[in-house]
Amino acid sequence: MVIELITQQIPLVLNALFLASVLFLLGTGLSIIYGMLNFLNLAHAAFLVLGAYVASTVVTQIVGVFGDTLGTSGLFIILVLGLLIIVPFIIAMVGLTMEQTIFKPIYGLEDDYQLLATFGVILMMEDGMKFIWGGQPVTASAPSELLGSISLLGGSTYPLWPIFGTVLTMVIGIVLYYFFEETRLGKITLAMAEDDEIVGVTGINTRLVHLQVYVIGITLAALGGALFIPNASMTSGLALQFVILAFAVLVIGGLGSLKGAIAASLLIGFTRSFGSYYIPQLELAIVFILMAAVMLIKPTGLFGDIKA
Amino acid sequence: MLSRSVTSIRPDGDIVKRGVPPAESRVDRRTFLKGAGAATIAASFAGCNNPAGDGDDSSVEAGGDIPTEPLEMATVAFTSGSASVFGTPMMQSARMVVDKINEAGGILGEREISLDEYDENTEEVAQLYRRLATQDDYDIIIGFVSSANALTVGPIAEELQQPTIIWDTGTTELFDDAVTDPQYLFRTCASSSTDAVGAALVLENALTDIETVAGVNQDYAYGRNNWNLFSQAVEAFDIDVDIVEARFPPFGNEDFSSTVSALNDSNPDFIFSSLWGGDLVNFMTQANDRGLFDDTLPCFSGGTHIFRDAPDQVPDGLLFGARGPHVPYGGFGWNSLHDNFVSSFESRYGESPYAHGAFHAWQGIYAYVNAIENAFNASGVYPDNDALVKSLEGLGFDTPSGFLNIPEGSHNAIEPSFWGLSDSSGENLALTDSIWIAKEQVNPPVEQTTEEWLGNI
Repeated sequence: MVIELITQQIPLVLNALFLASVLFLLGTGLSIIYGMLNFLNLAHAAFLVLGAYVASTVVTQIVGVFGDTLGTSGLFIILVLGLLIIVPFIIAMVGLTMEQTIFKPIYGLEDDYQLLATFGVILMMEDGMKFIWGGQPVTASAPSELLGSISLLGGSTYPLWPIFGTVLTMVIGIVLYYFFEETRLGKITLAMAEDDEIVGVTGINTRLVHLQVYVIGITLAALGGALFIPNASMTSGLALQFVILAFAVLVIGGLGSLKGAIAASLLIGFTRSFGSYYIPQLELAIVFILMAAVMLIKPTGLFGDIKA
Repeated sequence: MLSRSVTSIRPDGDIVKRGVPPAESRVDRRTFLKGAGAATIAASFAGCNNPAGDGDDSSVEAGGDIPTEPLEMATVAFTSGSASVFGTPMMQSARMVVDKINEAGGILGEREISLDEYDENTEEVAQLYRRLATQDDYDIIIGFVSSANALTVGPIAEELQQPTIIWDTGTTELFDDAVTDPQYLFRTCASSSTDAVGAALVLENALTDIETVAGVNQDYAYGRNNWNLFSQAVEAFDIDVDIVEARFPPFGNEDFSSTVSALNDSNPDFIFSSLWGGDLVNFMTQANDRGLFDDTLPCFSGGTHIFRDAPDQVPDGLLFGARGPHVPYGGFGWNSLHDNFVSSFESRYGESPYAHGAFHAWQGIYAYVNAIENAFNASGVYPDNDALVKSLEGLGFDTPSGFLNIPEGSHNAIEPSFWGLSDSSGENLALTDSIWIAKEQVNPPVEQTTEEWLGNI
């Protein structure tokens, strides 16, 4: 009985970790962009959705070109490279173009105006994605199928892709931590989050740092989409779901905090995974209950300081 | 075919029959004796002409003036958002049908239809409907995919006395609760009773190995209605199965992992699901990955659109319905209307009409056109709204999915329940080993609500 209960929890833990991974990639980008640039970009989550759509096209193209010539391992490696390099690159280019044309003029506005403006951007991006990929769900299951499944204790089958995605996200998290703690650019970024005018008078090109931080944030969201879609599908209309989750990470973790993003993603991932298993009636509400609880106890979020 | 806990589908041949419903049946003796009555039969036969522009029998013999200005028709369906998996092919189908009618001269060969399309993806569906009915003054409003939206506009249609055809919504609450004495509101597709009660009868009469059952349905009017009907039917027919799990994930959900884990842990033999759209694709993807279908037979009552949207996520041997017999491909032959419809759709849009909504759109528009033509042919006068309503009551006509009728005394079309196994072995993904249940077995008598009917069995 106890063993059965424990084995039941294993897939839930794995589900939670994978969801937390996607949320970490999404929330961290939003958090550092807001923390460093003071830019509240409601449309940030749409870059995850765009990343997923682009990933579906990249996967389809790679399978079409290399599907018959490469073996399982070779094709899987090419697909992973496509998801980790091509997808973020394309999204970074799109994001940079949007930064120059749409976001830059609204950097100086109050949060309220930024929220309204970037909400409009979500709608534009959703319609744009629908125009390109149509209203039907798109999938990109080839990487997950190639990786296969494992048998868990108790005999249930579990796909390896979410585990792979979780491990990959942990590596990305470590790299990010190293970046902020150990690299010059990371330290400049943290300093700018405290006071970018002071940093500016030292002769550092703050605009360039802004752009680099922005691209890192957008790229992380794109990676979230690229890791998400092999295990699911993407449909127009899902962007708003991810907007809510991204802001949940921001609110629970605290603005501009990497540690906060990690803690919040894990908290939401586990709460949602176990909550929707044991109390499915609260599946929608559970994240908001968590947000409300954290805001009551610590209004600035769990790690409300702008530090790594 | 099945490699699950279910060894085979063994239809009893009485309630659940093998094959497909008679493709061009009018009204058989059994339907007659079941209480449809002479008026239904008469009206049904009166409506059995081939539709305008889609057959050889559209000539007009009656006299009278036919309005010269185009008929103003508004269609409403989701053309954006996740529900556009149905709405988009519905609009495509509507466009194709109206073009075909207009190419043949229009309604009665003379009156062209002017078609306007509206996106159902709005928070203000009541306002949209009121505007279409009053300011824009459409002759007919045909539309609505969402159960919640149909429940909203139904009472308004009656209030404004606006002829309105609900072309896709399934909830039985439409005529059981929201509009109990309809005058101007009609539904030209089957209610969810056809799907949910049909699935229960399949369990009882064709899948006798099943011992445990679970459900996964979206947490909104349609999903809840489907599960309520299915579980009521299991109880009403005293089917010897245990319901071990009932899950209602939110509509528009990206993560089904916990739902799949819960279903895996309860390990049912059979899952009844009305999931559709991106939710169905996500559920299927995550369920396939987690081996849910290795020893569980899922039954998706309205999910054949996934054959087009995510064919690689459809293993062979899963049980699918299509909200009635609305599938383009299977190991059987339909009538010529079916073949014409499928081939026309494919040649115009480059894809097959796997979403049942495409067939529903055909039915909705031709129900209206047939009602006008029948009324005109019978009286020699172009029908006003009241005459149109009378003509729609008891209407029957051939469709690409077989014979469709609205029983006398009802405003709701009834259709047979239809199921088949997913099969990718042919040129096109198809439903094979199909089974069906007669329409009167899966719908309440006209004078009863679905709940009353199930409660009295």
